[in-house]
Amino acid sequence: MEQFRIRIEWTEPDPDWDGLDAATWGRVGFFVGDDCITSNHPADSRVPGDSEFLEGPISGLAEWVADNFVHVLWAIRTPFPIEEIGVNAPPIPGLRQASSGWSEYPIDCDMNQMGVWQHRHTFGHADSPLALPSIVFLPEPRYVALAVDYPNTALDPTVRFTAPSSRPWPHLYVVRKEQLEEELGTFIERVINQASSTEEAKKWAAWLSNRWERSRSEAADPETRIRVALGDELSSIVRDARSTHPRIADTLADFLLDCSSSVREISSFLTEQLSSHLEPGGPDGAAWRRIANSGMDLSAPLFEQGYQLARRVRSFLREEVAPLPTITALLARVDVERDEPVHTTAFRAAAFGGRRFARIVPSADDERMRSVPSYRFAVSAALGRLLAAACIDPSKPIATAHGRYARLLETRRANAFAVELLLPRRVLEVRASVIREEGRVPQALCEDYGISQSAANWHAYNAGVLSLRA
Amino acid sequence: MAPELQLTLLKEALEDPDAGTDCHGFPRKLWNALGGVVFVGVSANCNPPEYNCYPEVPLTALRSVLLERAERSVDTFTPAKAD
Repeated sequence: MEQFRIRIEWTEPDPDWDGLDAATWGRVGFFVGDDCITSNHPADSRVPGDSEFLEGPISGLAEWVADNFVHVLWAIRTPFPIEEIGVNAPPIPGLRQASSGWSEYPIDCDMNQMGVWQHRHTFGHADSPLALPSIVFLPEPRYVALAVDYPNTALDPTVRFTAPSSRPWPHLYVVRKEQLEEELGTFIERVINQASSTEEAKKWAAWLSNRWERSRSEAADPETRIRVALGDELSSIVRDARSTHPRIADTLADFLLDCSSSVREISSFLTEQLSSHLEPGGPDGAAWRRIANSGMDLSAPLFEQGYQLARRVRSFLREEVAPLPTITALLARVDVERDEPVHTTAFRAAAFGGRRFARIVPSADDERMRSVPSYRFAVSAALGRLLAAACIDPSKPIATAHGRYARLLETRRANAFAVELLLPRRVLEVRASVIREEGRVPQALCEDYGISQSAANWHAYNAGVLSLRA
Repeated sequence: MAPELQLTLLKEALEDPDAGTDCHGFPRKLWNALGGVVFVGVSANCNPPEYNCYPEVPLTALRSVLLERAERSVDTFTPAKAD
């Protein structure tokens, strides 16, 4: 897991600037792992000066952090469907997408909500005259994804940014939330200390210090976290559950993070599902639990974790490369029940797991569930979510969902699990010459393995079998 | 941008309803737009107030009114009348 770092060097201010701006004048550089994400050169190509730092007043960046700290860490649900991200789909919205009014996003996205979300998640937006690349934070419960991209050059910034050579932009980094929290805290406290050392900026330092204390308290408060993570409407479902079904409230909150807001229509169904799964029952040592107990390398990249889990399932089934039978038969072999589909568009397939038994619930209303390959993929991905959750914390009840609004990082692992489970990489490697010749995974092979061609091609690309995305 | 025009734009600028006030109690953020460009004025926390103004993507509740204002041409600019 990479680390996010902000480096500051205090310098003599430009003589045209005074007051607070001069008091917090410095050079600031942002780094993720070994990558500098603020490498820049002057927009005027006649002026020399490649640098990893930006120079100017830093106070505005500190104000942005203080104001948006709780959102950067805890505003997990997004006003746009996460699923649209990826190959042949819009990227995570950054400043360039915002400039064009998010025209690549579905028309059912609320543009006002998009604006509020974008401001709160884009580092330094509208708070500092320092030009920055587009750095967008997407928090999840334990990790935060950072989507880094070029800014909108129509705004005429005085510098031009250069992406790290090995990681062209847009690029998604993943950092541990605790590390990000600590780094942002260190950053803001350094700026406050610097301002406190000059008479003319002391008042501002005290003012920001109060705001910062308030933000930190908010970010540490469990109820605030849930409200910010889910939004007012869905967090009220959790609040109600705390009084009527207190044992399931935390699990319910976790589940809602993966759903669209239409999930409120099935809140009583969810309460019933979760209540029943917290009761002990079913066979001890169910197959899915045994598979999960064999572990997963949590330090590996998410897609690799998904592949590992899929190979464990296949190994358990003693089906290393053969096409899998029907999904219902697969689930039965790993002791997971398949429930009747439920009428909802909140998710595509949900997975619930107690100490001893588990169940997958498909959606009856999601359009993609009408296609057999999409259905197989969604249910497989939900199984991947179930197994990953059981690996990460075997003691917790599990309630997760796969669908348009499911969490980005969990979805990445679940998608990798599903694609490797349905069509093992070894099959692609054996058929590599045919795949390369056709420039895509042959349709007949996709049909044999019950997988869509787009998913198979994506897998072949990631496996290095296809050099260009088909 | 000419200093007079900049001053006029600041006078008719809209306060960001979500930004609150700066450490002296002045509006923390102002927005305006002209000639296809949306500007934000960010308080420099001075008394009397001063604002650092620069082009910015209008991610604010004022977005639609700012995009309308951005359609005004610099040549024919007359400040919006107060409500």
